[in-house]
Amino acid sequence: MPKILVCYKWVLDEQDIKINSGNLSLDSSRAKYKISDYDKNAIEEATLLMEAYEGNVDALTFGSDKVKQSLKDALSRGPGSVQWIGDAAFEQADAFVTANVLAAAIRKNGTYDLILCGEGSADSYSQQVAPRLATLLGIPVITFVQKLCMDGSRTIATRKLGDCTEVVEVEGPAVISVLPEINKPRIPSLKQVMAAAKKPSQEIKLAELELSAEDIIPKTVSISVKGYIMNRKNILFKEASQADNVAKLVASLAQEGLC
Amino acid sequence: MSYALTEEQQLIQQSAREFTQEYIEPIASVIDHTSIHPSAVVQLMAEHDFLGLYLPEEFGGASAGYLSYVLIIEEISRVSGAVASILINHASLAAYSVNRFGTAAQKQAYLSALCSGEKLGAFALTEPGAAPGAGVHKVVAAKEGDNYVLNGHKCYIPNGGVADVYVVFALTSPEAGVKGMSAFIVDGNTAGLTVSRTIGKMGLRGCQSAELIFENVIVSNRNLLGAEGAGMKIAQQAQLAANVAEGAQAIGIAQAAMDDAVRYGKQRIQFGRPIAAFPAIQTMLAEMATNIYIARLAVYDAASLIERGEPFMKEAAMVKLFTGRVGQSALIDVIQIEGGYGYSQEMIASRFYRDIKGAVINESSVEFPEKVIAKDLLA
Amino acid sequence: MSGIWIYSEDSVIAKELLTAGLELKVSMSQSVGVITLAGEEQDAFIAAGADKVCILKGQNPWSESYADAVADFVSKERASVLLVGGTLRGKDLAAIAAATLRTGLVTDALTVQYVNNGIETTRLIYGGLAIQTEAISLPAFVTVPPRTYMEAPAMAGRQGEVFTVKVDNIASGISVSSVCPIIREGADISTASRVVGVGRGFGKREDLAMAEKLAQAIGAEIGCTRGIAEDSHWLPSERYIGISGQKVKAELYIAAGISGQVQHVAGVRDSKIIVAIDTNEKAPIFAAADYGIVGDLYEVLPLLAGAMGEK
Repeated sequence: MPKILVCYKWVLDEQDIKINSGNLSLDSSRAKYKISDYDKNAIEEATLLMEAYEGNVDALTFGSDKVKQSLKDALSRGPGSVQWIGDAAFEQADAFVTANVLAAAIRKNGTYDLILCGEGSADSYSQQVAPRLATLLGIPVITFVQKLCMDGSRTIATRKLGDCTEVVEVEGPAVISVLPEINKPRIPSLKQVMAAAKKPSQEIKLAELELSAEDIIPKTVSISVKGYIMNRKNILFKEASQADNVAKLVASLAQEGLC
Repeated sequence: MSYALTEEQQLIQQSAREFTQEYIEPIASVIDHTSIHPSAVVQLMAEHDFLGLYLPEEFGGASAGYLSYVLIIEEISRVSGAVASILINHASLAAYSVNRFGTAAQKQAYLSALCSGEKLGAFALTEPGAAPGAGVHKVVAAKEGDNYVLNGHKCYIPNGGVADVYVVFALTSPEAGVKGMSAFIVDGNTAGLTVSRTIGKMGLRGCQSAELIFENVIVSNRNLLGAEGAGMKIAQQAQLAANVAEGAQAIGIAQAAMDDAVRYGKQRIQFGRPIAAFPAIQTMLAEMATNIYIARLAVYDAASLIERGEPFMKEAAMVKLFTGRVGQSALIDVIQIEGGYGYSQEMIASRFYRDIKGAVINESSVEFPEKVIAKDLLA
Repeated sequence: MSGIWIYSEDSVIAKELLTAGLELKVSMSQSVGVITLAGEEQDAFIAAGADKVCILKGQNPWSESYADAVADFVSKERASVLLVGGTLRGKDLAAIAAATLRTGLVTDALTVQYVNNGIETTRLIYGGLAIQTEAISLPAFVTVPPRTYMEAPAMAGRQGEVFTVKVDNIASGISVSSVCPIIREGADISTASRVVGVGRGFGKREDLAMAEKLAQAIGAEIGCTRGIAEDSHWLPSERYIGISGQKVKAELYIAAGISGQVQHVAGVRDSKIIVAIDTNEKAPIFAAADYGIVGDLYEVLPLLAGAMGEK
């Protein structure tokens, strides 16, 4: 009966963010929020472990005051309860602050057999929170996991690291970060969506956590964010005859010295 | 009256959008090209509780309310009008009739299977040679002991041939005309019930329409839905409930088409400017956006009347009338904006153009909406 | 605080980071050192510009188990900057060390500069949609993706200090077994000079043969979108190109039947010439392409393979 925690981040949907053509600033005024895609894999994996080993899954998130909108969404995907910290400090938080806050919230709640995270977040994708969290909690971390199973208090994970895979084992609690390929997150059924409303959620105030002032001062500060525009030639061949189009393309590639 | 969707309704909408993007959108044009009933999609919709969404929990539904249901119809319609039609025929027509007019035993026997998706429903009303609204119904149900024996033809029956349960309208007293019409629940595999052909359609392809032949089909009197002679009332009520869902279908299609036109308008350059910069295009877009907005409010309002169990006939007819106009005029303008691009066969605008017509003509058959509205006004 | 240190479990990447480190050395007037697990490379690092080489010697071959040792060392050295090779193992180690020392860490930095007495980095966010400039207070930890910099060239006659630190890293709490190299069919697409990318425009798996024909004609490797690898499983996941997959830095990248989601485009943007083939003129891939053909890839690919094959 493992006790599992899954952490997720409530992020802006990058598909809705527009780049203002003048100064390349980002316009997120029409962007909706979503559970970070990679974290959906973590939630799904936690839920699959729960189903396989009859454990239970809690979810934990740190975000702005808007993060409250995410609770039922998260709960509809499997976890039995959710705790959330919604604070303006999130807006400036870097991985250092985020890991400090999550670790403090976890310490407040006692222990978990496993803590799952996505490999990175869909917005900043810094891939730091899982190893930082483990280090702060003084437990091992297993990152980039493509396959996960439990055997009593042992966890066996297959990591995928670019040029190789490796099987690692850990005894006792650990933090795991999962790769997107580990599973395909379910789309909750409507009954699961409706059942989410009845599951418990609990707010944790930042002030309730044992954090020093320094713990919530970010180490990295964003100076600017600019749309990344590529300067490409954007030459389109769209004649009805594909033979003509191909001939023109090949001629252009020849000019580029590519054929 | 509340004008904001509840958090639960928003989540249902979001979940439906995730579902349609994942499972329907990628194959929507294939469904259209092939006209094949997408049974795998229907199975997935069943697993996600779409088929019994607004139906009572005690029969395996989700009791989520009719407004949540039309939200889902709207989402599905944004990617596939055909799949929306499959669900409307199942849920708003077949299952609605059984839920509203069925006995406890009939609900136990049929509604549970319809809610779980174990069985797909269809609504068999129209007959060959019977112009919509004409009330000429030639399937006759003759009483023989504890059974009725059905004989005759039905045509243009959506989900025909793929459904497991049909709500069939037949004349128990042919001499009484439509007043002698009764409704029956008929298993698709009953002996004597056959599909003579499927009918190719202009739009909503993949929601299979078929011609059904009833040849000495024996139906137990336990499967008589409502009283003898109540067929007309049942048909009308179910069709009006379906009208609200079809309103959601029309605005879903119109919204998706408009979104496509907006994307196109911003990208298509003519005379050195995106065409969206031209006042003529902006006027068309503004008009359709306004119409869709108002139509959507009407759809949601009528759906919440049904949800609350209040009278909804007039409002449902208004929704049918107005969303039909809004949807058709939006699609005419979308094709106009997109020009040759939208007119191309493989483009979604041309599919939506064909689909919207289907969404508009369906279920306006028993009585024209104007007549329903006028009757209520003058009562 | 003094000293720019470099760590990578991969000595080639460590030499790439030396290029970045030597730039910082100029602007910060601080020495550059390499922390390595590969003692045999000590002379090569010094030749490539390292002033100091620290060899970590432990008993555990698992490189992540050196995180505490790296943290210890840079803390004792009072290092101002630690550049870490941005492999997955490197990023893991850097985050652990940063947490231990309560320092800031920027991962996947595209540039690293010394500005206003601190380190300024740029990196992609929102799946490659935007580029973020960040300032990190010192000591600053930064991971840099492989192949971001050229390897620092060896120079003759350089001298440097080499020392060895013994590390007790046996008890890491994690036991590692069965390390399997991933056998790639064909070359690594992240280093290939030509790549043909395939996406959802292909209706069935067998149709990928058309892309393979084109690839053969121009001497390219096959890559794909995340959907093709992870939803359809038509190609192995190491063929998938994107912000969380492989990054292609090809001379020529041809996207066939790929709509061009921002996450995919982020994986090919460093290619020199991008060609796109798609039926949908509005597909975002065309905005990211130098040349595009609006058309059915089923018609275009065979023609293109024929034409390029003749050349």
